[in-house]
Amino acid sequence: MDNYILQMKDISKSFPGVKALQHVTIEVRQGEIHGLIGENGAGKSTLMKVLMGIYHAEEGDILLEGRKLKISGPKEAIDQGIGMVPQELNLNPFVSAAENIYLGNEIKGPRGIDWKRTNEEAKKVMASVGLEINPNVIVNRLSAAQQQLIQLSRVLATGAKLLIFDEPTASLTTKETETLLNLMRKLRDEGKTIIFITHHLDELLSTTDRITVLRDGQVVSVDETSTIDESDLIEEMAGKKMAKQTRVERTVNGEEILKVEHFSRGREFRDINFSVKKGEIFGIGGLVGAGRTELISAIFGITRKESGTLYLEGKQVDIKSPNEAVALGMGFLPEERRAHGIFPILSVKENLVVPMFHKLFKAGKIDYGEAKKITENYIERISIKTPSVETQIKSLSGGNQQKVILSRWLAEGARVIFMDEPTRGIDVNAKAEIYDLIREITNDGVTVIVVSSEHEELMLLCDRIMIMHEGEQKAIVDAKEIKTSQDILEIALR
Amino acid sequence: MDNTKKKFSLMNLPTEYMMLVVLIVLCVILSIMKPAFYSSFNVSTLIRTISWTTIVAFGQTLVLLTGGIDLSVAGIAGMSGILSAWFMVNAGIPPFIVIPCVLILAFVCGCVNGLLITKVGMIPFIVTLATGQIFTGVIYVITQGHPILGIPDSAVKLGQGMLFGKIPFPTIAMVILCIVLSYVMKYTPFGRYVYAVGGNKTAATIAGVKSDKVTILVYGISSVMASIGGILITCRLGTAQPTVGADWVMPSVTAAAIGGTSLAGGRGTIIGALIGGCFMGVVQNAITILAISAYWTQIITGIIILIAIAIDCIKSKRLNQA
Repeated sequence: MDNYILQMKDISKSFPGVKALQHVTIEVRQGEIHGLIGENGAGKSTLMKVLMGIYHAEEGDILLEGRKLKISGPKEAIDQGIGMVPQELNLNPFVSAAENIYLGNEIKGPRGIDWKRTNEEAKKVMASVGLEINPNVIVNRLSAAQQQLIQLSRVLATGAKLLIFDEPTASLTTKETETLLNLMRKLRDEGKTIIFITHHLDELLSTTDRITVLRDGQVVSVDETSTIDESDLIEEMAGKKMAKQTRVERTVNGEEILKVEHFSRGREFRDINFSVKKGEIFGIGGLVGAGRTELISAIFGITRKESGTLYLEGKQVDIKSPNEAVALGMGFLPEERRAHGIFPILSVKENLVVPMFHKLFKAGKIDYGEAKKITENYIERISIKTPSVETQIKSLSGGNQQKVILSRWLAEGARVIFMDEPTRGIDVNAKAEIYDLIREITNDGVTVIVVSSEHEELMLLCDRIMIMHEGEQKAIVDAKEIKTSQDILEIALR
Repeated sequence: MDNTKKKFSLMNLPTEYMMLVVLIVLCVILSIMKPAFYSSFNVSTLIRTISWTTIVAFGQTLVLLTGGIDLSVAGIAGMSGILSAWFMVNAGIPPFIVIPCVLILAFVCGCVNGLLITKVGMIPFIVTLATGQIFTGVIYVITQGHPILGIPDSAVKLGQGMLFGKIPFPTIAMVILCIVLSYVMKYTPFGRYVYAVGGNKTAATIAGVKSDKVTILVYGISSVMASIGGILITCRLGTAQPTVGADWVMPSVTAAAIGGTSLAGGRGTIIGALIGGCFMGVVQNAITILAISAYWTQIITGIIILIAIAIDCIKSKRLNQA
């Protein structure tokens, strides 16, 4: 019989209107790295939250080493030896590494917390994950990768046997990722069991022993890693429903509308030069830390460039704030839609007309009738699913929120729209709609500049792609010449 | 899920209208228990008393909407009262010149608050705490702690006069300001930008809103409101007391909060501040005419605030679950 450390049997969990998990069974063997993969919304995070006691399943059992467990909260899960390295780090940035590691698990002496031992123990734990730093260092002075190791150290300090890594490599560089994967293998060899959630197939295939694939809240398959390859996984994740997106060939004959010359800003990006034609979809690709977001933020005036010149329709312009960029006919879809894009408690209508209030202000009064008409027009035209124009935007799905923000700029009459990760956190079907929409508006003469970490997105959407790496412009290529994501990586890392 | 079957209940009303219903019920009960409550003398005293803090609460509401707080309203109110009295009495300048000048000065002081908050990046609480101290200090430097007596009759009329012999001028000022500000908040770009900046400042900036300018103006307006309150009460008293407005900060926040304004920003209305202000005035009045010991006032006010805010939180929690 297999020696299972964890069995989650027949787990079901629903949220209003969604069956997040339906009779999910997952079995993890003692001492393996078990991969967990699925599209956004497949139920990976929900399943792990059930395991950590953050959510409570309506049905199903959790067995740890054969014993049935009742986990009512994270504290109990931790006491049972389960630990999670979350996707969003939850460290206190203002206190020391050692204090963070022993947070909630303080080493106490006769007179309160024993700081001397805390520091000693922290140092040992950190050394075991290859982090050789002073335990007294304040956490916000550490890099993202180091902070993640602090988080891992915290989990190890609780004596966890079963470790969950939720998208641990999302904000790491290639080199840091490799280090982390090696560390995971080392922990496994030392007898820990690991559940590894990631979107990166190559990481899964190179690290895990077995892989469970989730789709729409159900388990699709459980495979020995040695018996499968990338295309198997993609097929299992996507199922039949995904009509694979195809590239639409376009020809762009417009005149040059935007030209960037010698743009630099500190270490973020250096000497960037490119020009974009009217109606073009121009992509900016590269790995995390390439300086893509920083570049378009500086063009749009969210931050200030240190040197360089910007031309709009041949005229030199100096943009010092987003307000000036908007006045010149530019728009911006930020990467963090929730944090930087929407006004959560305001209505769809108001979210849509924000940049044009001054235009709607006629005879001492905002013309709300006109605002409503504009909003209804866009709801109809690009099929935004919302109960009404007065609905608070936070109750819409991510894809529909993104459509509202895009409509905001179309209604304002923006001629150049910057889009930072336009489809992040948006499901497959809504993605396809957003792509169609981008093609449609560019056919109408709007120019779009897309920043994306998904190389596939750039390949099937853009006319040309600029590839950046660590602040430097590596190449501008015709998107037709790019066949696989590997081509982009080769250019970036060459 | 099913919006169609939404039954009418107090809980479904916006907070400010829920409080209005409670307020009306409270007034009806009081009138039945003590007919003296709706005597014209009591009513006109009541509506005049609430004017000062409610006018200040209008400005405070704008500041709270941006996610800040203005603790300097006490200092501004006191300084405005003292300065206008000083110029009218000691320099003999007529009120119709003095008052606008003092209001402009207050606006500038408020904008300084806003500049320190936006351009220097200081926390509103600390900035307005400090500038509030400075403004209060100015009062004592000017007056050495003594009141200024002998304010000209034309000014006193502003504070003591009544329209039709029943409605006090300060109340009329309050109502006009309420209408004007409500209109500004609803029908002008500036008003909508205040909600946008309070709801999500980064998003507002990226959408092309001049967030800093909006914030600075809001603190300017808050100071002007405090200044109007300070001048009106000085005119009402006929003397400028150094302590005028000193205890207005918390009532102004309270009125706004009872009226449904979120201290986290982005949510609230001017009419809510008016309702909140009336509510607090009526409660205080009730304590007086029901001959409850005045020492209970603060306990009762505290409980009302907790209940009002708790209901508000429960409501928004429910909304989030739906």
